Amino acid sequence: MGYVRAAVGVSSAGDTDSAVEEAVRRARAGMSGVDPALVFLTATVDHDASDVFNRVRSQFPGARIHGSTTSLGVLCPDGVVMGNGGAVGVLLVGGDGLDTHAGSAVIKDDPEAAGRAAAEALGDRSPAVLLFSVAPGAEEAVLRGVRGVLGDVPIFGGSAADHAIAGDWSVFTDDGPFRSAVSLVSIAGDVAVGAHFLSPYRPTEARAEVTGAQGRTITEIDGKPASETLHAWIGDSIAQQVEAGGNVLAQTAFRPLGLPLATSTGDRYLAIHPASIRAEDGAVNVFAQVPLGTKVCVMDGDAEGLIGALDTLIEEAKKAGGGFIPRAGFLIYCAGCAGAVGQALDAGLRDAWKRGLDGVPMLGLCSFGEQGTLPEIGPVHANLSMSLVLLGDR
Amino acid sequence: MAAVGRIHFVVEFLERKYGAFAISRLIMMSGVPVRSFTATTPDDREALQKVRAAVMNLLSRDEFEELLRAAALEGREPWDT
Repeated sequence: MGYVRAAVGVSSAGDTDSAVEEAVRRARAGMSGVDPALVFLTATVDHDASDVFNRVRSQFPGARIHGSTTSLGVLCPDGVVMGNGGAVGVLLVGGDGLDTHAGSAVIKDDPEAAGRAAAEALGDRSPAVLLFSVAPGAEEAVLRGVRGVLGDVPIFGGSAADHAIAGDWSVFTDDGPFRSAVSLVSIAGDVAVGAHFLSPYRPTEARAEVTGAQGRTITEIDGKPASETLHAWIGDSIAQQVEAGGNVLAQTAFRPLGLPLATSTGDRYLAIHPASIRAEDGAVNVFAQVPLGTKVCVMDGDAEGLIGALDTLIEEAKKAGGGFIPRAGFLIYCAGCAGAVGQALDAGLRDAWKRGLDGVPMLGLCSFGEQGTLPEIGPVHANLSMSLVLLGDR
Repeated sequence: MAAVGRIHFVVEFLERKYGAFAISRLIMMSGVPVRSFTATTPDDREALQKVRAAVMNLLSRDEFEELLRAAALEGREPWDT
């Protein structure tokens, strides 16, 4: 019978050498001498990603490294970790019977091809779960590429992030950190997996059809400039941006757009986060593709709901694992949600983890896009969402 | 009215009161790399406006007024009025 051993270490030290040393030392102390097969790595962009990666690689030359930079701070069972010089976190996962493979590709002109290349590099065609990390911008196409090779493998992960949405993010692949890349790690072997993905918002009755869209820009809704409809749905908190253009991340974090996906038990909704408004034509930039002709709705949420969703996420991930004993958690929490929830996320995460998975090591990051697999639908890319993958003993 | 260091003042206030996570949120919501602004950095009107808009989203009315009072104690106004 195999087993999973895992331990997490985090640090808010300001210099990268000390931060990596502290995070690794803390995590290693929890491994009881077991060598990690996988290092899940995250850091804020206050630290140089290459420096972080190289220091971690020198500590674990034989382990797979996977992860990305995080916005805002590092998430762990104690809550949110962030210092004035940044934060670093590592989750070490090892054990007997755990089988991991890594594949990655740099994303250039063809993100779907990058997804295919990363999946082909894996060398494992039937993992129990696939951990996914990707640069923001073309997640849907990368997922298509991965799915083209691996079929209906459950995929969970997040998009790399920085603080300022300035493109300073990095994806940590097994081959090093890259600004624009996809990293995959397959988990298989004698290990139990439970995972869940959710968008913590309620759909409302306010609906309209997307009548103009290009890539990740919605130009028209119901034949009018998209910002007009958004203004009517969100209210005057975005009046200035409708008039002059600008960032609406904060105002829309509790009122995102909802993209319906049909299932046999009714529509499920993916949250889509309006990021900014273009004043000259009233177009709205979002962080995911919204197909032309989609009837979108506005969704409703609040800080309590975004924190309370952690309990649901934990319980559903445990349920998905069946009667297993969780040993490690990989948490993805949207940076937009984290930014909207604010300081309350720290205690909210700590309390939720204690209620549901007390003592289980976990590392999480605040992402600029979330990917998960939904029953009857398959892998999706959404915004303002969260996912949890648990590995455990059968 | 100070001609330098107003963003730095706001960052110091928020960090002292709410911690480093609040500064990450401020950077995300404003798009301004506020940590690069020092006490002697000349004020940038556009950056100040973005920071102000983000701070108004981050803080409650009471918290925002506390920031204004702290600025007044130092003979400052955090932004142009």
